[in-house]
Amino acid sequence: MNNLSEKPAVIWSVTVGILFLTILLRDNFSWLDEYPKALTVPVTESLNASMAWFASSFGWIFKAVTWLLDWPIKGAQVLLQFLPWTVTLFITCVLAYRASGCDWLFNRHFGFLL
Amino acid sequence: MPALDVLQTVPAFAYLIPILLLFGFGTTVGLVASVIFAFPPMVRNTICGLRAVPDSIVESGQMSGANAWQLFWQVRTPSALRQILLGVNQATMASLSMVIVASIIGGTSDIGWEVIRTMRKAQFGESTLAGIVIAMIAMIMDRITSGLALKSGRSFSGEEDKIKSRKLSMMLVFIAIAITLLAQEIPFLAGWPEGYVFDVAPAINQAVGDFIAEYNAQIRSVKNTIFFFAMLPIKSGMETVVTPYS
Repeated sequence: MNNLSEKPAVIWSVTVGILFLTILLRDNFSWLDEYPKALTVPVTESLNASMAWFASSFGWIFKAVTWLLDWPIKGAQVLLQFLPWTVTLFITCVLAYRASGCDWLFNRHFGFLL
Repeated sequence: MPALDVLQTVPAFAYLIPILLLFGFGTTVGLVASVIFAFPPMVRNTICGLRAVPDSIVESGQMSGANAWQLFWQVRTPSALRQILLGVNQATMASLSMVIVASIIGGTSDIGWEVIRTMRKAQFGESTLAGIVIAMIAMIMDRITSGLALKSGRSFSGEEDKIKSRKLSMMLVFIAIAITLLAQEIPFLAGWPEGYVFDVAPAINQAVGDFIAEYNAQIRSVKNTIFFFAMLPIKSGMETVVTPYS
C-alpha cells in the first residue's frame, strides 16, 4: 500500500495541482513559461566533434565495406544491362511461375519434353 | 530486440547523415541505408520462426541422434523456413520503400531519382508513372517472395520430382541463353521496339492542368471553407481559449 503507483488518485491530484500552480506562478517566474536557454544541454557540438573523430579514425573500415559492396552492385548493373529485356521478362515469369506452386500444371502439359 | 525497435522507429532521414559521413556517396550507400532499414523484420521473423519450432520436432531430431549442428541446420531451420522466407518478403518490401529515400544520397539514374527529379519539376504525369513502376516492382516481388514462402514446407517432393525440376531448370537456362543469342540478330528481342512506346505523361499533365483550370473556383471554395470554418477556429481556440492567461 505504500507504493505510490497503487494510488492513481493521489498521483493525478498532485499532477493537476502542480499544473495549476505553474499556471498561477508563470507571470512571476519567467523560467516556468519558457524553457530556459541555459538548461539546454550542449550536446550538438560534442556530437559533431565525436562523429568527425569517429569518421576520420574508423572511416576506412566503412569505406572498405562500400568498396566490397560496390562489386555485386556493378555486377548486377552490367548483367541487367547486358541481358535483353525479353530474357529479364522470361526469367521473372519463370520465377513467378515456380513461386505460384503450379509445377504440376506444367508437368501435365509439357512433362513429355523432360 | 530493443535494438531492432530503435532501427525501425528512427526516421530514415535521420541516419542518412551518419551513413553519408561514414560510407561516402553513391549507389552502394543507398544499398547500406536500405539494408539498415530492411533487416529488422528479417531478424525478427527468423527469431520468431526458430522459437516457434515445436518441441516434438526437435525431440524427434534428438532421438534420431542429431548433433547440435545437424539439429540446427536439418531440424530447426527447415521447420522455420516458412517464417524465415516471410521475413525475406518483409525485408524486400521494406527495402523497396527506401527506393526514393536512398536515391537522395546515391541516385543518379534510377527509378527513385526519376520520381524526385520529376516531382521537383512539378511534372505530375512523369512522376506518377515512375511511382507506378516502383509500385509494380514491389507487387511482383511481393507476390514472388510470398509465393516461395507459402510453398516451402508445404509439399514434400520425392526423388523423381527433384530430378524433373532440375531438368526443368536446365531447360529454362537453355531457353534464356537461346533468347540472348537470338537477340543479337533480332532487334525486337534486344530492345523494346520504338513503335510500342506510348507516353501517357503529357496526356496526364494536360488532364490535370485542364481540371485545375476548369474547377479552380470550386477547389478554392472547398479549401477556403475548410480553412475558415475548421482549421482557423481550432488554431485560434488552441491559442487563446484553453489557458486562462493567454
